[in-house]
Amino acid sequence: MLRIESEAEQAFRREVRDWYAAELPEELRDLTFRPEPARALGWYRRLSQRGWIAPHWPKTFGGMGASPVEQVILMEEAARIGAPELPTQGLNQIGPILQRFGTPEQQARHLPAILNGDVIWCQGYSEPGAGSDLASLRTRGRVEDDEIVVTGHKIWTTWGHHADWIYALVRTNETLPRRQGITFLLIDLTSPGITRRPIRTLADENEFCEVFFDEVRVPRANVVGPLDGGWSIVTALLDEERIQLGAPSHALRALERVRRMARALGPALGEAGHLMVAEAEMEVAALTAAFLQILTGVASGKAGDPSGLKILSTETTQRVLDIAQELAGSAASLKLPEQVAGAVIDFSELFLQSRRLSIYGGTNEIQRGLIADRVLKLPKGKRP
Amino acid sequence: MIEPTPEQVLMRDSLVQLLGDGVARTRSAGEAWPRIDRAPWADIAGAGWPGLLVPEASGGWGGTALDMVMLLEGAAATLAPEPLPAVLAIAPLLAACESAAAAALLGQLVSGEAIVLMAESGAFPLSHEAGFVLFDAHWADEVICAEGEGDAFRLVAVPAADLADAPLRRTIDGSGQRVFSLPAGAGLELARGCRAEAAYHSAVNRLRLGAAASLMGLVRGALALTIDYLGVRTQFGQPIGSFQALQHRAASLHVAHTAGWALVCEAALSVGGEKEGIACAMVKAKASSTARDVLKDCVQMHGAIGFSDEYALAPLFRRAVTLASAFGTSQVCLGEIGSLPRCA
Ligand SMILES: Cc1cc2nc3c(=O)[nH]c(=O)nc-3n(C[C@H](O)[C@H](O)[C@H](O)COP(=O)(O)OP(=O)(O)OC[C@H]3O[C@@H](n4cnc5c(N)ncnc54)[C@H](O)[C@@H]3O)c2cc1C
Repeated sequence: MLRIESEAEQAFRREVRDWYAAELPEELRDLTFRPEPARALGWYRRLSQRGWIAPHWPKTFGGMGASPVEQVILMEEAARIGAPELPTQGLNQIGPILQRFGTPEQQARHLPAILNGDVIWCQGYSEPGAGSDLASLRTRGRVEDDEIVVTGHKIWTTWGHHADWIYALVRTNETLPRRQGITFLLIDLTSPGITRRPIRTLADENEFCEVFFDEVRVPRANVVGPLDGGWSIVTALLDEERIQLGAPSHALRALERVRRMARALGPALGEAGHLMVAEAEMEVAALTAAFLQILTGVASGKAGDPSGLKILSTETTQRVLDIAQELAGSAASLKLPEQVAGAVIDFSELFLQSRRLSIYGGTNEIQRGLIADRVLKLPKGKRP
Repeated sequence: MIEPTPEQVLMRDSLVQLLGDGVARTRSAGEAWPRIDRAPWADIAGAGWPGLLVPEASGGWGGTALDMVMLLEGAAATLAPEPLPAVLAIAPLLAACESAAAAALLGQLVSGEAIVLMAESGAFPLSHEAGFVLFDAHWADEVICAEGEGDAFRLVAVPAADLADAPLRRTIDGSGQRVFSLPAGAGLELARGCRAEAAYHSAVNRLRLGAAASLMGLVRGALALTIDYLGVRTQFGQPIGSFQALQHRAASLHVAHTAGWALVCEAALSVGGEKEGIACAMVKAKASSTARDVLKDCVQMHGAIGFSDEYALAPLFRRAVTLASAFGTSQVCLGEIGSLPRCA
């Protein structure tokens, strides 16, 4: 963040930095990617007890109600110290959905559990045939008295094999137009009839999975919003979610890699290397500035451009990691992180992982289409 | 565009058949890592491949740089784990050394008895203490290292067993890398002086050219998968290949491949001439960045399936990243071109 911080903001930054330095266990620093739940959740709970797990949640629901600047300070300090990435589906997705559309019972049951790190959530939108065209989903829910009986197949479910609960879209009405027959359901993953199969990724990790539902009985009390009215819930929230996807946290983490490599290289960085590091600094500064502006705008009721922010944030991260690859030279293909000049440096994993960023959360092609349509108001043409 | 000759096609097809499904072998090698299965190498050597570029007088086939790139381009997408490209590029260096020690090593290399690889000098900037990087390190029996300059230049062969103390690090394509330094005077001297230095530089050039050809082979394989996928995957009721956003992207990748492959052929034609050094630096820079960019776009156009390891794209991607990092990244090679005297 380039702007001058107020005294209160500076004090907050010092407080965050000191607390992280004192509290974050050594073994959780500088991890390449998200640690497994057993390791991640202890830290999640520490942050939660400190009151910093949900900066963007309103205070009424136990969040911090943090200002945009405070949110960026938290991200910058986390990146600086090499804090681990934590599961976000609860905090960024289902949490906000329940805050807006959940019943008081659903809120009381699920929101504290998310904040406390008692439950891991996953997202069941995508199916083998339904990716960008999410409304073509086929997983079916048959309404029987006070239950919905779900049968179908979800895929690419991040952390699905670690999760306790899934929020899913299921088709409950075949006769209505395709966007109108979809219901939003909360499903306990220990219910009979669910099987899961992990899928390995390009970065060689079991990061997501397939989830199969065979006549799974879900109480009707677990429907969020109206029956058959799930689509409007998802679309109402997409913009807010994309702003979180547009946060500079990944880019800051990537930039930290570049900075460490530059320090380790010392004079070997050379002139071309200096220019690349400078470019990385500049790109992340631009992203952070855009995030601050859009978030500030949203707080005062402006629509913002979440699609643009999502593209900016994901492609900035990717560009910064391209630079890290070049700086790494022949080490760029090493699989595991190494201790170099006093710092742990990961050469390839973040770079491989970063391919995901332009695919998930609505691909960047889909976001570009939305900008053409909604922001630039270009003629529709053949774009669906 | 230069097309392979009928002989080159025959050679390429028989090599590809011999290498078989490299992905399957790489995956099972992953479980046994760093143990390797030498049986396929015995077949490769038995068929005479390591001698491709070795002069006939030294028991080889006397093949050209263009033969090499046609073969390596064709073989790359099999993703065979064996370090054939490196061996191919190094064999003529041993022939050029004109020493008994080098001749003996060449004999072992051609027969398949020994896998001889060459270490890259001073290319691991992040680790200041070490002087050499060896890719495919766990395949090597003998490692060639170059030291000094001009009259003090020395080319030595070190038994790989002597390097066992240097940590073997896994690379993302399932292979391994060792970074090491040599004690003064270590190794068996193969050649020394300015002529040896020139021969060494042309070996580096061939390594770069071979890596570039392999990278373009990976690009061609990935593009073929992607074009197919654009035709069969439907979203919004139409094949995704009907969306102009993807059509233009695919067209750009096709153009990038055309330029990259043309430069590979051109660089192969430069070998032996004055511009060989600059051409091979250029082709490695170009192929490395083109491959990384094209492979990224291919993953993107597949959506999530492109990000899953079960689909054929991921191993192509990881191999491309590894090759791009070896024997001079884009930036390293561009830096060399930029600092050479103008030689248009
Ligand atoms: C790491 C990762 C984690 C994920 N986690 C989850 C999860 O937890 N839960 C979940 O439900 N899903 C998850 N997904 C799935 C993700 O939401 C989808 O991958 C995404 O929506 C794209 O769908 P698809 O993969 O089927 O690609 P497709 O929709 O098949 O798209 C293939 C290509 O075509 C392009 N394309 C499609 N339509 C158009 C168009 N109209 N115009 C131009 N281009 C177009 C796309 O941009 C893409 O490049 C995850 C994906 C990844 C990679």
